[in-house]
Amino acid sequence: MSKVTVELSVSLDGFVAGPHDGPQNPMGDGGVRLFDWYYSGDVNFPLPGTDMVFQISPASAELLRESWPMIGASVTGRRTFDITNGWDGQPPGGVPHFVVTHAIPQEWVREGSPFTFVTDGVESAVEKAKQAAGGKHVDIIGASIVQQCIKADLLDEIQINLVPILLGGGVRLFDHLGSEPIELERITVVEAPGVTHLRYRVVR
Amino acid sequence: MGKVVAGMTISLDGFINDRDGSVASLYPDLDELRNTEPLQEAIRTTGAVVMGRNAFAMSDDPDSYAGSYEFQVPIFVLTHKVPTKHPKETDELTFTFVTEGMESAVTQARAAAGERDVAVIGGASVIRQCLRAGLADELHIDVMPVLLCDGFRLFQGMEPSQIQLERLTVMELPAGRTHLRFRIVK
Repeated sequence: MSKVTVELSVSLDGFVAGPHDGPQNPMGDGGVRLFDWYYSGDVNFPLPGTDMVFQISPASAELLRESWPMIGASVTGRRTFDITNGWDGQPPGGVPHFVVTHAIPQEWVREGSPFTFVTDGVESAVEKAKQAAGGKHVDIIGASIVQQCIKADLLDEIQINLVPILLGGGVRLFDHLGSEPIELERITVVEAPGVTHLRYRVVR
Repeated sequence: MGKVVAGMTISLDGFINDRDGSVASLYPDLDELRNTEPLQEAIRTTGAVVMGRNAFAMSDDPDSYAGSYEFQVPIFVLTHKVPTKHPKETDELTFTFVTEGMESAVTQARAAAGERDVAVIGGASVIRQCLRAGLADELHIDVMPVLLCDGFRLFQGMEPSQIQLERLTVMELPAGRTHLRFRIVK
């Protein structure tokens, strides 16, 4: 069964990007430090679907080698899509990528594009992504879409790559979720240099 | 000389209580928590406690600290107003109400703790004051498997330049509690 998952690097104070993020400053002020652990180990990990090669610790590498091949499709929001400039056409994962948007950016609509633009909401995008994922997981990218998925009760698992820094402001991963507590179940904890990987299941 | 250890339990989304101010959902493991290795270690190594007025008031009966609180050591309560009735004390557990601020509380607690550690146990504002003033050597964060979605955030208003951390250890405790220790880089 296809699970809906998220895996994001988060500061100890809960931010996935620092203040003032935008196309010229994709991670916000100080936010690039969230990715220090991607470049501070000695194991090469080529990020599927991209030209990027991370240099990570053995413990993080073991985790990523398990989790990335499980991903069959991705869903992202328009803001993340624009800030990354559509990952210059190489979205991480190398899998079908569904972008939730109000208006379709025509310059990205072309033969062989990895992107499908969905204008009828996040539930529709997740449903389409599940079909495309062929039984594998649907990976959610971007705080706003993660929040929408949590509120719509679509999210199955959350992996936090907890980075021991404070950003003091910016984009919170868990925000605008209402005021009813949401129960989780811890699945795994992996201690790696510069990062702690915490994986949870959303309890229904 | 012992360490100053600031510690607090938070939800995965960073709250120290829920929208009603209750911490109940962060302590479903209240009974078993006392038997966990980190708390047993803290009980052995703590020579004095610093807490805020709200944390102090979380006990319905202040006289019940003596004899039943996990840390039977001198307790320093940061407050603006000293309570009219001094709580019950024993040879081990005494109360000092500190009105001159965080630094004074930690200085007094250090002196009382001697070779042992000072535990700064909250609430959130006390932890932030302690971190901002550069008084803590370690930060211990317990993350509970819940999104509280509302309440008070532990790190609300803290600036990145105010603290630099290095993770020491991680321990998986019962009830999904994850104990994270950070060294404060000075």
